[in-house]
Amino acid sequence: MPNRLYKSLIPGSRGWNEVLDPRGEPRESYRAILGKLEVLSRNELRRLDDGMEATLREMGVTFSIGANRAWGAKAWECDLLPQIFPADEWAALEAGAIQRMEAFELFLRDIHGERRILREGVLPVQVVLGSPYFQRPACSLPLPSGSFLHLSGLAVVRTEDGVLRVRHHYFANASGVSYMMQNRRALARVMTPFFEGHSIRAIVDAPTDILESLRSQAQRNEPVVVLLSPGPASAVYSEHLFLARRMGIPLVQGSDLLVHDDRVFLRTISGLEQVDVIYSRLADPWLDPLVFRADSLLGVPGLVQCIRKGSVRVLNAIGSQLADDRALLPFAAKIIRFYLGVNPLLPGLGTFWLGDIDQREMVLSDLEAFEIRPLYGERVLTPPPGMELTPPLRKKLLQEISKRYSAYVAQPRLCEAETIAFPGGRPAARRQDHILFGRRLPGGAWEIIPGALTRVGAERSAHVASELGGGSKDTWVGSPQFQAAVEHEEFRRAEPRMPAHFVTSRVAEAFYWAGRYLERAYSLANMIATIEALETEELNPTERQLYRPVWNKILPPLENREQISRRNISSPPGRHSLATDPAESGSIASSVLRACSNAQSVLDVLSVESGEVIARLVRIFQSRRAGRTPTDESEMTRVSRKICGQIRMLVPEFFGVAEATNVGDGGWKFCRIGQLLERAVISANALSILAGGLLPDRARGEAPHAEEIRLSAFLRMLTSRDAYRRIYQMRIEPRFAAEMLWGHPAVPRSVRYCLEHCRESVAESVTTNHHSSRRALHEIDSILAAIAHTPWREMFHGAETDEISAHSTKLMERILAVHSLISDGFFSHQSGLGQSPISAAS
Amino acid sequence: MLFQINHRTEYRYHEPATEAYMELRLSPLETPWQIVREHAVRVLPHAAISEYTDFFGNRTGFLSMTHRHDHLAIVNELVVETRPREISGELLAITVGEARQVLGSMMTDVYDYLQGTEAVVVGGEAAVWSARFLPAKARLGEAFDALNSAIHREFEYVSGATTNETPLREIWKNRRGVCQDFAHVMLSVLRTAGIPCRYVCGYIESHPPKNQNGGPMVGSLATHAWVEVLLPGGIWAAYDPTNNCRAGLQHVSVAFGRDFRDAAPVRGTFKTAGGQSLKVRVSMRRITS
Repeated sequence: MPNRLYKSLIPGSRGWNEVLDPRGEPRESYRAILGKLEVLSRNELRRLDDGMEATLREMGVTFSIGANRAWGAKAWECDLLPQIFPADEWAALEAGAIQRMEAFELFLRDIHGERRILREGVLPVQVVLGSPYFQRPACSLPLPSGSFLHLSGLAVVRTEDGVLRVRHHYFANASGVSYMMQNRRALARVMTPFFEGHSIRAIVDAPTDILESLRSQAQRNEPVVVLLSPGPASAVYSEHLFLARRMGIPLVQGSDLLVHDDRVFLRTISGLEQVDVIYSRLADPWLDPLVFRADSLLGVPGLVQCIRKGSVRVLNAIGSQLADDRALLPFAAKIIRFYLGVNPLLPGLGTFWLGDIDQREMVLSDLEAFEIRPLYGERVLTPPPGMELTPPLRKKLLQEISKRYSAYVAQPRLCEAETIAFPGGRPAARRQDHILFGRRLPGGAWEIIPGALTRVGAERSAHVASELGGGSKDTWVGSPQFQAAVEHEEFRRAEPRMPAHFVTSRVAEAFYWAGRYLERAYSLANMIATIEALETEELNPTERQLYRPVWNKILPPLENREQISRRNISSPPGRHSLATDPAESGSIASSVLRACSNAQSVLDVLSVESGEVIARLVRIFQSRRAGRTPTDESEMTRVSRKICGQIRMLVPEFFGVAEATNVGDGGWKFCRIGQLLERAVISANALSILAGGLLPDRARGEAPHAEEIRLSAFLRMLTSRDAYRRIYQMRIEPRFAAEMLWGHPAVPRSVRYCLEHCRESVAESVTTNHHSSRRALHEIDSILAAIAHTPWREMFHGAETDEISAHSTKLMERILAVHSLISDGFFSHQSGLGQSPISAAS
Repeated sequence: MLFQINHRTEYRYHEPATEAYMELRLSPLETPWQIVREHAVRVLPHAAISEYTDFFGNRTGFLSMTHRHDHLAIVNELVVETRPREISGELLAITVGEARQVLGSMMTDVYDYLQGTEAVVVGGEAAVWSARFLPAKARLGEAFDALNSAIHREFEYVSGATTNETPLREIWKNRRGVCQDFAHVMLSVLRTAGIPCRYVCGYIESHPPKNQNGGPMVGSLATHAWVEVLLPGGIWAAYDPTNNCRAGLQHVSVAFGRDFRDAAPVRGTFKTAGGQSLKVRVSMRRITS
């Protein structure tokens, strides 16, 4: 008797149903679990579903869709009802998957070598050598342990006749292992009682197993293994993070790696570490701009040469992507027979390559029955099921594919058998497919991980593809022997090769620039706020003339100093654009956005709390109103002041929150180093004009009042007037102001304070065996000594203003140059390679 | 003939570069008609070069410079002897149709030399020329000579008229270009006709000593480019449409590929805050005739 839960879902004429038999009764493998589900009320089911969502969110599992996703990663969904493969069915699936992987491995070796299959006329040459994924440079590359494929995936789908068929190859780049594992973790946490009485094979050790495969490739003991990712822009970045963490290996991007002497090095703040094995999640064309796409910024120039010389192994091997070209799917059976001499164990889903005229005509004559896809990737060109292929859509589709028929394949539309899912706690019919994952064992044989990523369509009629949203199911593989049912959270931990405090140079540099730009924005906000107050409220027009000549120079120095022009801030529009215009060089907006893009590039190592402050900072300049320039001057003033106010609160908030919440490893320290160095530069820059512009113009017989106004404005712009009053308790005099801002040990704006604290943070990051990073320390010490030995009071008394200016400017330039030493020592490792730099910044 | 060749490629950066990675295709193949007597590649500032053989058979050098530098020069110094390169009349008497059939049966090996590339687009105007110069009945030798002369006649050599980015269809339209464009035009016609062919980058003696064999040649101060066509039997015949001749004693071939990109003598990627300027100079002096 069909149960009330899925009464409405009886398959009827729709063919195979994954969960129910043709009479509407639960299949054997689902009987127990459906029994547990059907006693629950709608409300209970919904609560459980909410629980799954909350758990996955808390675990940080996301999947991004769409291009505009800086902060909008989509949460991952996992259904309450798992997919269950009984042990015998799984054994057949496993054997079929391994057979395909073995055949396509031999195919890859053949095509990159003798090309027997082409010479014997088994496959058309065009399909193979004309594939955009056939990489000619791969033909002469040594293979890791002689094989292309090591970690591979395969998508299978059960069609309406109940047969499991291969739908896509993910041999080169198998995405989804982490999602598979997270589904299990979430379901085990939320639906613990469901696991009772089931004997399910464990998948918890998959990352450690993968690491074992990776490490077995290395030639050195204690090898350095890294996971190379395209970075946070990748839709599956959360998977890269998960795997790297579980394996205990560095998650790196191309710019973390450096090729020198035909070897690959990881740039860390404590120097260069040679890399032995790279688990690449980057498609071949992006790997090395010297060999593949010259415009790739994601790769590592020279990487391919290191592979050639055998100093590094990259998995899967370059060239593997050819095996995933969908144009080869129609030939899969031939490929299996040719290399293995046996028939395929696992049939393929009927696939037609539009580059072949006969196949194309067949498809075009019955277009409604097919899904058109590119040779690679998750895009589907035909309208989603449920939406009709109207004549205009049909025309558009034909227009697109006729540009290059050979770039597309067709697979039957709506061929998937249905299953039951519980979106929002309500039972509903859904379509699904399964990605299986295999790894090559150190001995060379394949092992299929006993689990799968089951992808579920968003609607009954929808496509099944993660790129299009939708959900997923935990996938249970029945165990022939009894195993502990509930997956334990514990897993075998990999022994990390890299020290715990290990920080890559890219991460440190991003933190450093975030610190510098935030400090710059903060200083600027203080200056503009001060100017707004002076201009609009405090000074009369004559008085304004007295301080205006100098303010411009006090602004933080522009990076491109050749372009420096006087910024017009004497009018509300000038100040408005300096505050809000991201296109204006050195504006608050551009500084904040640069700081934030640096911070966002290291989001994975930034605390969630400090990430939230960054998000708020970005929002100031992304709101719709920020793009519009007010026409009215008083409105401009209001906006400038408001933004300055927000920045003056949020930047200190960021530093405070970050200090309080970030794990105190070496990466975060560089944010503080950047902040302090930037502040030292800004103070020194302002001070270098103190002698030139702020002293009373005796020739013109200026009143002391004029000097008073200028100096007061000067100190306010540097947020130091209050400090001056407390320390000196007298009217402002240039010599005391100079003495305080250069050399006072406790005034946070003073150059000495900044450099001493900066030095402290740098010193913590210097490792004993790393000499080049010591140069920055020596230089800071030497600048501090020069400041300490300058008799500031006497100088202002006796020396010519030119002399004071020259001395100050020289100090300022030395402080600016500390940047190059920090950069050389920790980020770019200019001097760490046994070759002396031609011209270090001196 | 014996030549002394000096080929200098120099990059100057507007801002010092912190990293540079280069691939050099500067080592001429040894053939019966091209004997390399001396060869040295120098890099300034010094960097070690490691070698490999690329997909097209070019001996390729790789270098990485991972310290700050404000210029980078690569100097290729060669002494090369050239000898006459005879191609049997029998081969050249085969018809285009026969050749296409023989070569078609070797598809697995010649596939790459039959395909269009981004720089060598097949079809379009090339199809008209291919029908005109390479009909099935034409004999290879005569057909290639006629095509070579036609390109030389109908296209104007204008130094600086095009860049590496100028698309081939514009060359077809404007009928002007430099040696690289002449070579690409010829490749596009041959490939449209189903004849495998490749791009050659090399050096040419443009100003032979007075009273010596061979008139002045176009190609001058930079590297030169021409075409090799694959004949049945795996023999390559070399044609220089820029100079309306077979490539011979005054040509020294250095690198091969499907188009100029594959055969670029020097290719690099730099990490620098500013741009860079490139200067190339080639001198080819005859030592003995």
